[in-house]
This record gives sequence, C-alpha cells and structure tokens, in this order.
Amino acid sequence: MRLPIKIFLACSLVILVLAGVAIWSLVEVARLASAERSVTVRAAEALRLQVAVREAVMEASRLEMRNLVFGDPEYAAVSSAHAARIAQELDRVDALVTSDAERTRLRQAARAFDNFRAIVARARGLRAQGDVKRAEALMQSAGQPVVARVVSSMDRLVRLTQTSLDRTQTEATEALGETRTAIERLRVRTLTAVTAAMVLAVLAALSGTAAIAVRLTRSLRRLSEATKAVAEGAFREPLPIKTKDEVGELAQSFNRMAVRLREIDQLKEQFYATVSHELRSPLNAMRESARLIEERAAGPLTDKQERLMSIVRRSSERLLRLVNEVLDLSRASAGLLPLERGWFDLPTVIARALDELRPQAEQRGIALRFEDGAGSPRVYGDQDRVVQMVVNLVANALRFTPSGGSVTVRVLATRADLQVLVEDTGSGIRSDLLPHVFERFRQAHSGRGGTGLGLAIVRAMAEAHGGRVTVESEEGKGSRFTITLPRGAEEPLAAAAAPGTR
Amino acid sequence: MTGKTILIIDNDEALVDVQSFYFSEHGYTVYTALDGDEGVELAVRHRPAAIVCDVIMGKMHGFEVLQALRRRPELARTVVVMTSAKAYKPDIMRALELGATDYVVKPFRTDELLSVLERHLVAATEA
Repeated sequence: MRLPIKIFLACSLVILVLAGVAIWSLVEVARLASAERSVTVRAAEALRLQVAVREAVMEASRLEMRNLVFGDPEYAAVSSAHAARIAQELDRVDALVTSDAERTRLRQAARAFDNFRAIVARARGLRAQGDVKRAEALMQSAGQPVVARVVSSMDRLVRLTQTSLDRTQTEATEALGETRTAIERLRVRTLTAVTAAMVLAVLAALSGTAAIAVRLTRSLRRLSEATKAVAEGAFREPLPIKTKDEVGELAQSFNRMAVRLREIDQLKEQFYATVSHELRSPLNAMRESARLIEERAAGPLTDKQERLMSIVRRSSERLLRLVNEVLDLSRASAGLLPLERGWFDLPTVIARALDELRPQAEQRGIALRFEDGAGSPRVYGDQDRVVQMVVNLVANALRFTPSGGSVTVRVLATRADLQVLVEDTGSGIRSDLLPHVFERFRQAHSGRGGTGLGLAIVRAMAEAHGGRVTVESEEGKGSRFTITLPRGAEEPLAAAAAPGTR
Repeated sequence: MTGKTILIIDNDEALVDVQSFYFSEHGYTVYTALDGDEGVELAVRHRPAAIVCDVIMGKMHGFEVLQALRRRPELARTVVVMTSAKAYKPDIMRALELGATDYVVKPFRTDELLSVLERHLVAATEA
C-alpha cells in the first residue's frame, strides 16, 4: 500500500468514528423532541368549542324567541345562520373528543339540538300563519326543555372533557418529568459516548500513525545503516524490506544499487588482480633470472657481464617496486586496499622492521635508534601495512640524512591513539614544499632514489587504518613524520589468545 | 618413482621457466604445468618426489589441486609445497590442514625454494 493511502486510512478511521457519534447524538435528540408533543392541545380546543356551543345554543333560543315576538325577518336570518354554525361546531367537537362517554353526551346534545331546530321550524310555520300565540306557546312548552337538554348535555360533556383534560395534563406533567429524566440520561449517555469515541478515535489515530511511523523509521534506519555499510564496503545481505510502499521501492532500488556497486567493485578488484599479475610476473622472472646469472647459476661471468646483469637486476627491482606502489595507491584510492587486520604488538613489529633497515643505515653511517615510550601497546591493524608505512618513512629519512646523522623511531601512546614518530637530522623540507610531500610523484629532493610514491602510500595506508600522517620540518635541521593510528576496539579475548602474527 | 623429479604447477609462465631452469641445473627432472588439471594429470603420470603448487591460479584453485593430489593414495606422502603472494595466516593454516608439506610466501628466491624442497625431501626419505 502506498504511504499517502496508509495515512489517509488512519485519518479516515478517526473521522468515521467521530461522524458515527455525531449521527447517533442527532437521532437521540430528535427522538426526545417528538416525545414532547402531546394531546393537551386537542383537549383544550374541544373544551373551548363545547363551552362556545353551550352559550350559542342559549343565544339561539333567545334570538328565536325574539324572532317569534317581532316577526323581524332579519332576526330570522341571524337565528338560522347561528343555528347552522352551531351544527358545524358540533361536528368539529365530534372530531376533537376522544372518549366514548364524551361522544355519547355529544350525540345527546346534537339530537336535542336537532329537535330544537325542528321545533323552531314548526313555530315559524305557526307564526307564518299568523298564529303568534301558539308559536310562542310551542317555543315555551317544547323549545325551552329541548334547549335545557342541549345545555345540560353540553354541561356534562364539558365536565367529562374537563376531567379528561385534567387527566391529560397530569399525564403530560408526568411525561414531562420522564422526558427530563430521559434528557438527562441522554445527555450523560451522549457525553460518555462522545468521550469514549474521542478517546477511541485518538487512540486509533495514535496507534495508526505510530505503526506507520515505527515501520517507516525502522525501514529508514535499516536503509541508513545499509548505506553506511555500502560506504564502508561491508554491505553483503540485501535489505529484507518487502513493503509495497515508497520505502519498499526505495529498498529495492537500494538493493539493486548495492548489487551493481558490488559487481563494479569486483570488476575493479579483478582488473587490479590481473594487471598486478601480468605486470609483476615478467618483472619477477627478470629479476630472479638476473640474480641467478649474477650468482653464476648459469656458469662463470666476466666482470663486464656481471656489471650489466647488475643493472638489469636493479632496474627490474626498481620497476617491480614502482608497480607494487602504483597498484597499492590505485587500490587505496578505489577503496579496495585489502586490510588483513589483527591484534599485534606495535613496538615488537617495528623493531623487527628496523632490523632489516639497519645494514642500510650502517652502510650510510647513520645511527638508527628505536624508543618504545608506550609500554608495548597492542594495535588492531594490518601488520604488513604498518611495517610498510614505517619502512617507507625510515627509508625516506635515511635517504635525506647525511652520514654521521641519526634517525630515531619512537612509539608514543595517547588515550585513544598510538603514534609512531620518525625523526631525522637530515636536510629538512622547504616550507613551501611541506604541504605537498604526501602527494604523488612530489619529491622535495630529486635524484635521491625512490619512486616518489612512498609518502603518498604512507598516507593512504594510514587513512585506510582510520589514522593519519603528519609532518614537521625545519630546513637544514631535520624532519619529523608522525603516524597516528587509532587503538581500535577493545581487544577481544580470542584475538589475545591467538595473536595476529604471521 | 625417481627420487629426483619435481613438478611445478603455476600459471606464471616466466616464473615456472626460471624455477625449471634452476632445478634442472641442480640435477632434477622437472615437469611443469600451467594449470591445476594438467598438474594433477602429470603428478599421477610421473609420480614426482616433490610438487610446487601455486595457490592463486586461473582455472583451478591451488587448494583444490592439493585436495585432488592428497585423495590419491600413491601421492598421499609426496612433498607438496604451496606458494602464494598471500601471506594471510588463515590461508597458511588452511593449506597445512589440507595436507600441504609447507607454504612459501612470494616473492621468494629460487635457491631458497629449492633448499626448502630439499629439506623436506631428505625428511621424507628418512621417514
């Protein structure tokens, strides 16, 4: 999965949880609001209409009496309209009442009102015939009781509705109380749920991002370690990062790159090995053959033949040395200088190397001295390469020191490093040439032998060991070269048991 | 088996020539092989008293040659001196484990190599 998708999913998880909580809260609130609605409104409306009908019936009765007495057609019209409206309102009450008892009373009232309207019609008929007295008597004798019946029915209905309304209101109050409790419960529940959801969401987000971050940093750390390993030429196993995201792709590219680099290194190493073999083999044979001839392995020699053979031998020796040094330097600058490291006693190894140079020093009349000022410290490195460095520096010093002078080699120890100092009482190096003495083919004094690569090799070897070489010099008085080597890690017991000597 | 036969196995032709000349001058019959296969073949055919074998060769590694030689009963006690430019101690230990009589680090002087061979030949005759 790609990285942006992973991060998007982690965020979506949080958003989904929060959205879920919000929707649930809204639904709960809506449910409470609908519970609030009640029947009280209907009951109150019915009651108002019932009272109005009761009054209207009495009013209608009065109006009709006046109509009969005065015979005014306007009164008749008003009275008829009034009666029609009462009939309508009775219908509306019928739609509003809820209980059967109420409905019974309402029917009684409606029937009585129908009777009243019938009586009114008959009375109007009598009045139309001019018989006012009988009309009045009919209204008095039949109309009044009917009106009284309507009114009493309406009164009972009002009482019933009133009772029902009272009951509904009590219920409503109770319901309101319940609603409040429910609201409180809902509030607490919503709060708890929201808090829980928040905690859950935050935890989910944290663990999601933490998982991504941890995996990302672990992969990146591996990559960074592997990069360091590649830089040190110690990368062997491909990175086991198999994720399908950008980091995984990076790891795959890295593995391909590492393989390619290793192939290139192998090619280079192979090239150096071939060149080394092809150049050195014939030179070795030349040198060895010349030496054997000089030693009469092929029979007697004249003096002239011996002199010429000596030139062949010395030239091939010099060429062989140059080839070795060029190869060493090329390997070192390609980072391919093979160091075969082990623990060894530095002063012992140096003393042994100096023994080989002593005849040369004596021949030139130079005192070659050695001082161990470090108490036989052990060092982790390539013994042959360390010897090579010291031999190069001492051979150099011997070349530039006049007869009667001295060359002193000293080993000193600091807390983290070991130092090998090579001091001579020679001609010294001009200050303007001093910064360049470690460069290739830079010889401060030409015509004194040497390939011009000796000091460059010392520097390359020292750096390959994680150390360095420095020089101080005063013209006419002498020079001092200092090799500084790190002591290396704590010496392991196994190495101490089997010292890295050859 | 002649007591004066030496087989040289090395892919360095010039060096083989020099050694061959020098050993012949000192009265030895010398066979030379430029790779391991040929070396093992010559060793089986001529059963030399001593074998000089280089470690780093193109076709067949010197240690493989050494193992091939030591697997044959008739060559099990032959003097085999390994030569190599590699002076790495584990390599030397490995060669001796695999049955090398000695290990000489290059570059060496031809007369020194012969004296090493002769020392081992004398020891083998006395044993």
